[in-house]
Amino acid sequence: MTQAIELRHITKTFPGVAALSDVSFDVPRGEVHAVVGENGAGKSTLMKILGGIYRPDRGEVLIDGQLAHIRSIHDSVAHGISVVYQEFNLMPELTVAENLYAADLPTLPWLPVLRRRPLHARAGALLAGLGLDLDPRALVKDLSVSRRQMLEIAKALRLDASILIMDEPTASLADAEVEKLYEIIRGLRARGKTVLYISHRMKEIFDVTDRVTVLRDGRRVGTELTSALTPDSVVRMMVGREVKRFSSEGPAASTEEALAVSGLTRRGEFEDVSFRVRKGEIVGIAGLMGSGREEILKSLYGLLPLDSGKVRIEGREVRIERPEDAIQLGIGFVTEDRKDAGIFPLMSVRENVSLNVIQRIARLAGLYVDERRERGILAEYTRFLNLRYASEAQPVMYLSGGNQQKVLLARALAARCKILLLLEPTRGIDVGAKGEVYQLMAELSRQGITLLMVSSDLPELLAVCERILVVWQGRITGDLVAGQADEAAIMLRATGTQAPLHGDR
Amino acid sequence: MRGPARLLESYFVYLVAAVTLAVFALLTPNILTGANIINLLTNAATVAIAAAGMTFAITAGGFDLSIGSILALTTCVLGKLVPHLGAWGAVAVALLVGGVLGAVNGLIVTRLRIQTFVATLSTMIVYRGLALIYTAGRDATLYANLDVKYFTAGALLGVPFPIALTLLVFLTAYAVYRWTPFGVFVRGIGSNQVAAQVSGIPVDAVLIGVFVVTATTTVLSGTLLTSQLLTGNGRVGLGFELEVITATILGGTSLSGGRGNVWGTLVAALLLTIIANGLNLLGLADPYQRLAKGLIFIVALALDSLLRLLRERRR
Repeated sequence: MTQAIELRHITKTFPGVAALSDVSFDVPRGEVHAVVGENGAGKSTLMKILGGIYRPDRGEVLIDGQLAHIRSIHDSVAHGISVVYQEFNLMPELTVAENLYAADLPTLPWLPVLRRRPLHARAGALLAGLGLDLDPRALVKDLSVSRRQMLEIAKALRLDASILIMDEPTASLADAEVEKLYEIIRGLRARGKTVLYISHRMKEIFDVTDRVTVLRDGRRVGTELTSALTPDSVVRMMVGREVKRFSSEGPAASTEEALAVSGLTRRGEFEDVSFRVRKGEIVGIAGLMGSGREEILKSLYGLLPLDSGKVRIEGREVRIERPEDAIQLGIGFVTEDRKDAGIFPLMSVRENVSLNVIQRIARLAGLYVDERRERGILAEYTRFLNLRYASEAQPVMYLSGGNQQKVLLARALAARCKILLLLEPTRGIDVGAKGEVYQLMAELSRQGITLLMVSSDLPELLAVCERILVVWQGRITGDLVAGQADEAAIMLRATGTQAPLHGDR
Repeated sequence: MRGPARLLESYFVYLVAAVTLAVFALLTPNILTGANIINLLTNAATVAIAAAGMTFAITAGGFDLSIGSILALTTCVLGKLVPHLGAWGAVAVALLVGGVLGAVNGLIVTRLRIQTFVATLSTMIVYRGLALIYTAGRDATLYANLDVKYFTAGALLGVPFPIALTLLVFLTAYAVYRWTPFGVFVRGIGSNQVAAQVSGIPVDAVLIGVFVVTATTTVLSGTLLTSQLLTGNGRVGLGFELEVITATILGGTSLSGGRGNVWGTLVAALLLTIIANGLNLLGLADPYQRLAKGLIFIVALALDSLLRLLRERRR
């Protein structure tokens, strides 16, 4: 069998970190090959080497048995490699068709003038061939995140590359779209294309891949047939240790009301939302993308103004118009958009953690930031959250996704919040770190902190939460006891198939 | 297009210009006489033409601060060379010089990886230095070479030359912006430079092209100016770049890149001239004119951002 990709002793070092050391494996033509590993294991570096963004310090890449010198994106494309990157590489102000064919726009033969009709026809044919319902004329900035992701995939497929690399392609896709992606991948395999598939999600690896290569700390741990593995064995290879399965141990039942909202409305996003949460309760909010689930939490933190509705905290009616109000009232918030709305990438770990309380810990009438106090706070949460970093002055951008997420948690907790709002708290972090985040949430709940979390990961909601509110088209359509519900019960309500029933509370 | 809000956002500057014109028309009926309108358009031409180029730079996510100096250098080149090469020959040389200086800006930005703001801030100083050295700091007068007068007083197909040139430049700019791959590339780079690179757009070549465009449109502006002043001088055009950037932004070109508005730039350049002309006709002294101008900008930009806020709120 011809090997589509052969990696030989690939080594890449960044200042102070060995991202990849001596990684070798082969991928035969027509195989869907999963590359898995915790964040920081070197998966992305490997992909970037194949994509022509990085050059390895040592080692070689063979494509179809030939030594390939991939020095630029251009070289990578010339070798028939196409990459779907995790970060969006789209130009929002351009149309779908312009994004697809940016490097190859059809023009008049004698003038550099665009011919839009053939451009749209070509884009339309490509999208239809992939079964994607996207208008070639639509501006990318008007597309939802999941449609952008599908466009990103279409873009990689347009070149008819023989090797396709997908870096967590499902990170922002809904279930139906994941199915569509599977279809596309199976179609590619049937046509003899090779796919490298990077994902954190066990289900996808077992649904769609033939073999799995596991990386840990920049080294290859093993390559096995997917059919010879189980999710547990993959996780064990990834983390190199047994992972305790998370189980919620019924936190102290409290009857005290922590938060109650009634009639919350923000026109066009959610309407007449009412619920009550008890002190120390962990409540999940489920719903499809665009259901208004994130917006409800954002408005509770003062990020989006409410049109009407009442909010009560510990029995006292409050007004939350800005995040400052929310922080004053003991509400913490952890964003889902870690990179753009969460961390301050160039600032140190210490500063990132103490930011919300900087005025409170400043001395000399708020003019002097006392680093010792900052360090005290950081030390406290480093221990509590098992935060890992090289030094407190390290810019937070160099931390792994899981540790960045913990930094955000630490920032919210440092303000001594009583209610913590979390959006997708485990998105894009690896299995080991996920488990830790779940343990932390349980610990916080035991300490009497109330948690509300939005998550697209239904098994996660069912495992972590005591109660799950389901949102459909901006309205609450379900209030389920997690212990008595399953994914189907949530989905029925999240799609409006089933109205709230007696089974709901 | 998505509803009236986005439409209003694109045509906002037209509305402001119409209202301003209406207000001045009520206050000083003279502003709408035929002679004054031609006067208005002619005066707007210098800023407008350079702003057409700047629209590309800002859409690509950059700036060109060196154009004031390129304007000065153009007057010097023309002042020195018209006596030897004639008006058209000298303009050809000036365009060549402008193209080279623009390419130098582009090379500094792309090869040395310096941000456009800082790169052109530096060449702004260098190019003005060149202009002053070239003329030894003196005036290069053209009182004896009146054929350059054609560029202000002449007419093309019956249309006063500055107005005809402005129209020509803007029609070309719009066509390039809207209908050529270059236009798509400029918008793409401004909206996400990394994505543009990954998509295979020749980012460096396009950026160099953008700076050649800003420089050459500025040479055209400089030609009109020289024809009015009949003098080349290394000290003219101080603050010109700011006026041009003001027109571009007021016209609706997004400072965050990716979205330009070519006709908006033209209308905004006219608006600036209307304000100056109207305040003149009202007999307002220069210091007060400055106050009034600044306040009008703040009001216009505040309304614009309010509109955008409303639109985002509705999404």
